[in-house]
This record gives sequence, structure tokens and C-alpha cells, in this order.
Amino acid sequence: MPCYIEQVIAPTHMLLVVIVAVIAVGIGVGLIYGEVPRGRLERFASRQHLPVTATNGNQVIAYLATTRRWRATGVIAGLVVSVLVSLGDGRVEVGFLWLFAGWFVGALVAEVRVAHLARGARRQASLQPRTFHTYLPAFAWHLVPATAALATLITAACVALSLWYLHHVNLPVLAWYAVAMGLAALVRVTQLRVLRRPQPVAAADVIAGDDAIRSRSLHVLAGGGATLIVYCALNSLAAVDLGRDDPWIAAASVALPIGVLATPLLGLIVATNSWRVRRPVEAL
Amino acid sequence: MIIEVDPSSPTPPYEQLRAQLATMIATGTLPEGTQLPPIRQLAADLGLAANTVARAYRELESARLVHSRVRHGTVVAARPRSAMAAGEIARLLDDAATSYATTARQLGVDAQAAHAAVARALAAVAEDRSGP
Repeated sequence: MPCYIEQVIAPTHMLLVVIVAVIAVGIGVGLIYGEVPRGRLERFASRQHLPVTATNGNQVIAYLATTRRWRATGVIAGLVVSVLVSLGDGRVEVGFLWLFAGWFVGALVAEVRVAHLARGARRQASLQPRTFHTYLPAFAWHLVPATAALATLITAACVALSLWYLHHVNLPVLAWYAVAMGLAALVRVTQLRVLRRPQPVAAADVIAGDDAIRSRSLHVLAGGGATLIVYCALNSLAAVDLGRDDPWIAAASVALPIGVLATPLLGLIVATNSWRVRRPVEAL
Repeated sequence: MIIEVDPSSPTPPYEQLRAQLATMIATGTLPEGTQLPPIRQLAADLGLAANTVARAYRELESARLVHSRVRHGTVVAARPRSAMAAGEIARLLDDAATSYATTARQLGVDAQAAHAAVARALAAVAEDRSGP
């Protein structure tokens, strides 16, 4: 699989593998239970143009701790699954896709676990509708449906070529497409959940902190989700084995490494994109 | 613009919502074309069931105060000709003031403290409106 960083290790080096695994898990546990460094808070505030106060600072630190805990747990789970799967083939591999998928599943879980603002004794709410325009650029909001459409096009091409040359379709092509579509739906549902997370009336700095958190979550979901969906589509592409010298093979052999390298870069750019929350002027 | 629900009130939450929105629309505080928040958003923010907010919106729609359109959500409709007159607004304000004054008297609060509380409440509302 082209998107794998493979490390085939002989059985005699198993001790080294165990040591590396213990160190990796140790780092992961440190990330899960450790304190949020001040630098992360400052980076968050800088990306969101958020003036940090005593109140919303704690709010953001709690958010960063929750997301880091679950994302690190996801990476460790991805690492373990990757090694276990490869052990079945009698070797040890660390698959980047497993690590990234684990991280993203952790990110999805974190969004469900992030605490929303507490409602006071008086139940008050703003009548201002919350829309995605407030929290991220239109490009980022439409990225997940766009990559789902791209995955559909790639899969359609794979199916057409397979039927033309082989008169049958490889099951992995359709399986990866199903995963991509399921993922796209899951990401969209989670994004809408983030958008609709309760936001009762609170002090201006608290609302600003909550908006910044919402915005960052939506950016990460868009960037990470789009990356994983494109990776699924690339795996569909890789699963097509026409078994002959063909321009399609040549094109795919060029597209795959470019996609494997460019997609996470695009995802990273979207996820870390700086954004100032744009609140519409109150209708009064 | 802030809306509030009192869970301890004998008035059902949907009616509290409907009444506040109807007043805001009638007085022009919510002008024609203003988009109301989606049902799920308002329900989540107020800690109510979505059906409760949906019922309030339905009642407003029945009274032709709002209309719902696909992709546009619930929008304040054109104000009817019999919109709330200035006299009616003054009467409602007097009623609210009388109710407040009665509560202040029952609590044994003097006029100065009562005025100060009103000033604070007005300032807080103004701050909410000018907030993010």
C-alpha cells in the first residue's frame, strides 16, 4: 500500500520494537494525562484571534485537554491495531493510515465529550442563528462534501475501468468507497452537532471563548475528515489491479504518491487555518 | 436579542417563547425578514425539547407572524397593519413596571434600590445586545 510507512523488522529485533512501543505509549500517556502547555493555549488564541481572559482561558484549556486526551488515545489505538494486524502476516508494520484514522476517531469522540457552557438558573438564549459562515470559511465547510464527490468520481472511474478490462469489480474498491461515504456522513453529523452545541447567554469573553472553540473544532473536522476521505479514495485507486501495461496504470502511479503527500498537507492547512469568528451585527 | 424561559413559571415554556417572540415582532424589535434561530439551536440553548420550540414556532406561523421556508428557516413575516400602536406599547410597559414595583414593595426594597436594580438590568440587556 503506497500510503504506508513500512518498517519490516526481523524477529531478532523484536526487543527493539517492544522498546520503541513502550516509549511511544509512554509519550501517549503523557499527552493523555499531562498538563496543557502554555504554548498550546497561546497558539490557539493566536489562530482564533482570541483575547484570553481568566474565565475563557480555563474554558480553552479544558477544551485543549479534552481534545488532546482523546486524539492521543486514538493514535495509540491506531498504533496497536496497526501492529496487531501486521503481526498476522508475520511482520511488524506501522501504517500511517491506521495512526491517522485513530487520531481522527479520537478527534470525533472528543467533540462529543467537549463540555458545553453551563446554563444558569435563568434559561436565556440569543436569537442570533448560528451558521457555519461565522466559524470557518465557506471553502472549509464545503471541503468534506467536495472530497466525497471526488471519491465518488474516482470510484466510478475505477469501477468503469475494472468492468472494461476485467469484467468484474474488486471488492476493496467498493469497500473503500463505502468507508469514505460513511466517514463523510459521520463528519457532517459531528460538524452540525458542534454548530448546535448549546450556547446559553453568558459574559462576552466566555461567548468569545466558546465561539473560538467551536471554530477550531469545525476546522479540525473539515481538514481531518477531508484527508481521510481522500485517502479512502486513493485506496480504491490502489485496489484496481488491471494487470497490464495501460495509460491508466501510469496515471494512477503518478496520482497516488502526489495524493498521499498532498492530501495531509491540505488537511493540515485547513485544520490550522487562522480564523477570526465573525459575529453578525445583532438585528436591532 | 435575548429570549428567556422560566422553568418554574406555571405558563408552559412554549407559551413563554411564543409570547416573547410575538411581542418582539409586534413592537418591531424583530423586524420583517429577521431569521429566527433553528429549532434545534434554540432548544439546545434553552435546555428545552425541540418539540417545545417547534410548537411555539407553529403557533407564530398560525398567527402569520412568521413563515417557514425551505433553506431559509423561520423568518419574521411582514408586520400586519394593526401592528402594536405606541399606546399599546406604553400600556404593556406600565403593566410590567407596576408588576416590578409591587415585587419591590413586597421585598421591602426602597425606591432608590429599586431604581438602581432597573438601571443595572437595562445596562445588562444593552450589553447583551452589543456583545459578540
